[in-house]
Amino acid sequence: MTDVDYKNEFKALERILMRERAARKEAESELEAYSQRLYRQEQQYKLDQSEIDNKQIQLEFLTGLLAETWRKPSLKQIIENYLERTSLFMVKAHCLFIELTDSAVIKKCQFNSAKKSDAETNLTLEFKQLLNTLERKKVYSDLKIYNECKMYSVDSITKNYHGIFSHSVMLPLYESSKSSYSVIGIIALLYVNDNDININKLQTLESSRSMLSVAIERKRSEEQLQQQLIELADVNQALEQTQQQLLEQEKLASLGLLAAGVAHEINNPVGFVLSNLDTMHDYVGDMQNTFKPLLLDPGTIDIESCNQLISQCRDIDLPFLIQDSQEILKSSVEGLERVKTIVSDLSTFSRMDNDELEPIDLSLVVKKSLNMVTNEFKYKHQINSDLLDHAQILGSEGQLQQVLINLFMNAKHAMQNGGTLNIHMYREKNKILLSIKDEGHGIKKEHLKDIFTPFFTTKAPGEGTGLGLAISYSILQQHSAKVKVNSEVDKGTEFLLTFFELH
Amino acid sequence: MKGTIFISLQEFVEQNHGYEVWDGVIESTHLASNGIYTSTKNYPDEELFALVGALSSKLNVTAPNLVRLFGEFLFPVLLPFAPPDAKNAPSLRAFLLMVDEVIHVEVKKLYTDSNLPEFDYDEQNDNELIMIYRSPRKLCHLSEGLIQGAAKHFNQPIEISQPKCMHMGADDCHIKVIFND
Ligand code: HEM
Ligand SMILES: Nc1ncnc2c1ncn2[C@@H]1O[C@H](COP(=O)(O)OP(=O)(O)OP(=O)(O)O)[C@@H](O)[C@H]1O
Ligand SMILES: [Mg+2]
Repeated sequence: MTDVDYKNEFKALERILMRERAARKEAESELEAYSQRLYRQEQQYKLDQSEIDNKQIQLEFLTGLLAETWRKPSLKQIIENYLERTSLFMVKAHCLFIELTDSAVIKKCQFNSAKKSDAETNLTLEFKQLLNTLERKKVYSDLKIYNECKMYSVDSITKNYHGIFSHSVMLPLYESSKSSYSVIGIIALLYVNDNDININKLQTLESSRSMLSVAIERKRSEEQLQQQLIELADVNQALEQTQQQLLEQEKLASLGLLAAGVAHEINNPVGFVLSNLDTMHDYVGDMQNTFKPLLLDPGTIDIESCNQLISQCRDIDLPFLIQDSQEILKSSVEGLERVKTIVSDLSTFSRMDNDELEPIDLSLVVKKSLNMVTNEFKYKHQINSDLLDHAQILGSEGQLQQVLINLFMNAKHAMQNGGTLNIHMYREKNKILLSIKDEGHGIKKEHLKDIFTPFFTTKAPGEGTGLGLAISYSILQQHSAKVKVNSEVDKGTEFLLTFFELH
Repeated sequence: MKGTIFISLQEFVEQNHGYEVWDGVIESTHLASNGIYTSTKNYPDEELFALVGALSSKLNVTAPNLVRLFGEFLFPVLLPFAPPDAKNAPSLRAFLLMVDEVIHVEVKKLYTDSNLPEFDYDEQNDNELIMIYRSPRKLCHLSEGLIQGAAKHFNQPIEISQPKCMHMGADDCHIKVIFND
């Protein structure tokens, strides 16, 4: 290589080096620009992040509010919750709730003093002063017209106010009209310094408003419903009372119905017991006359007087008298026993404390009930009963008697021209079945579903209340007893009752 | 065109023909960049064409051939920047199919200002692949070289031909790759 060649080579290298340097510088400044861009992006990112954080807080506020609002049991608590959340969210604002009427009366006032920065007692005074000087009419009509979040300088809505607040944002929550006045519920955010007003957050608050209104609306109708429910419960209770009374009346009515029969039933034995006693009176008189001499002077008794006594005894037919007296006394005792039974049956029936279930013998109850109606059946009807010796069940004698008497009487009424009432009692596994079957006119198919309905009757007005079966049914239900009705028109009807046997 | 391509071209020339040749063409072509390139910046396409023209006459090779050789040289330089899926492609064919929809897509994401060609594929035959190239830069020969470089990388003998070429007045270039197995 020549010198020139070297020189050229050197020059070329030098230029390449220069270009490399220039490229490096360019790359470095590129890098610089790049890292600056990166830095700016980072700043932007931080800004975005804090924006996101803000949004996050707002979202939390809204969702938290949403979740809790629906859970609060009362309007007051909804507002309390709202105040609390709002006051935490709007860090710099003091929150107050008022309900303003169209005649500028403050109906309700609630505030939340949970915020630590509040010097609480002072704040209460501050709120008071503001409310006292507030131009309520203006605020009311303003919010009524705009129905949206509105910002005021406190001076513009007060008169002679000297408190600490300079600005206020009023948030109408709901409007409602009662019969004599209408109200607006308002959240007032009070600021000491207008720099503290955060428009973004206010927007969030504004968007929470509609949700809250809906919640309040719903709660209000819920509370109304609650009120109606209470009223309904009252009505229901009154109804239950009436029903109870009706039940007693029905019992009295069937008692009345029975009274005639029972009176007859009692009259009969009493009548013949009376006439028996009358006869006994005669018998005792005859015997007294005959035996009088024996009582006067025992020493004067001789053959003569003995013969006379004997012939007198023959005259009055003493053996007959003695035998008949015995029969008379026996039948009188029986008659009185009968009266006693009827009276005691009647007293179980009319006992009013009839709710307790106790172990009882169903056969006995059937017998007692039959006793009370035999009189009703004795002219044109027959009763055929085939009962178990013992049938222990849990029940109330009085109530079951009422049921049975009602069924018997219904059967009798269905057999106007006479017939037989068949009562059959039998066991099936652990159940006792009682069949009460008549040969009456039967029940029409379309009536079958109605017969247990209160006041359903096919009887002429004044003859039946239509409560008999309804009451019987509810009594049987209390006994966990089942009722089945088999009926065929013009053939007869069977009421089949099923009870659980007690062991 | 990205600085990388120019820097690679410089390396290609310096390694194969010496730095004086490179310095010579830079000195003789009077480029706006003055031959100062940084990898991520964009430079006018004309600079590349001017350099290729000057090199071709200085080295006495046709421009297509020069560009082909450069493409082959360029491939291993670019490959490291390809996404892993492409780098792990099971075959040359699979790799070539990814150029348009994977590799260049990633490039475009990283450098939104990059200018890339468009490829369509004709896959009618199993043992061949036709890559249909479209670009205002008409660098089909660079593609041929890059494909050749890729074939070397995948150890896959191929034959390349261009039955259709924009330089011959066609609307697009059909780069036909036959896989010789
Ligand atoms: C065989 C495979 C490939 C072929 C055929 C191919 C084809 C091309 C062609 C022809 C160009 C020039 C621009 C144009 O014609 O408009 C180009 C540019 C480019 N390719 Fe590929 N390429 C391949 C693989 C790759 C790989 C593996 C990478 C790596 C990530 C890559 C990154 C680039 C870049 C960065 C440019 C420059 C873009 C610009 O200057 O703005 N290519 N490619
Ligand atoms: N054994 C029966 N045979 C035919 N119909 C019957 C019989 N028992 C009940 N019924 C029908 O069911 C109706 C309702 O009976 P329920 O005992 O409830 O009322 P009631 O007998 O009409 O009146 P009360 O309240 O005075 O008993 C009767 O009016 C009658 O139509
Ligand atoms: Mg009745």
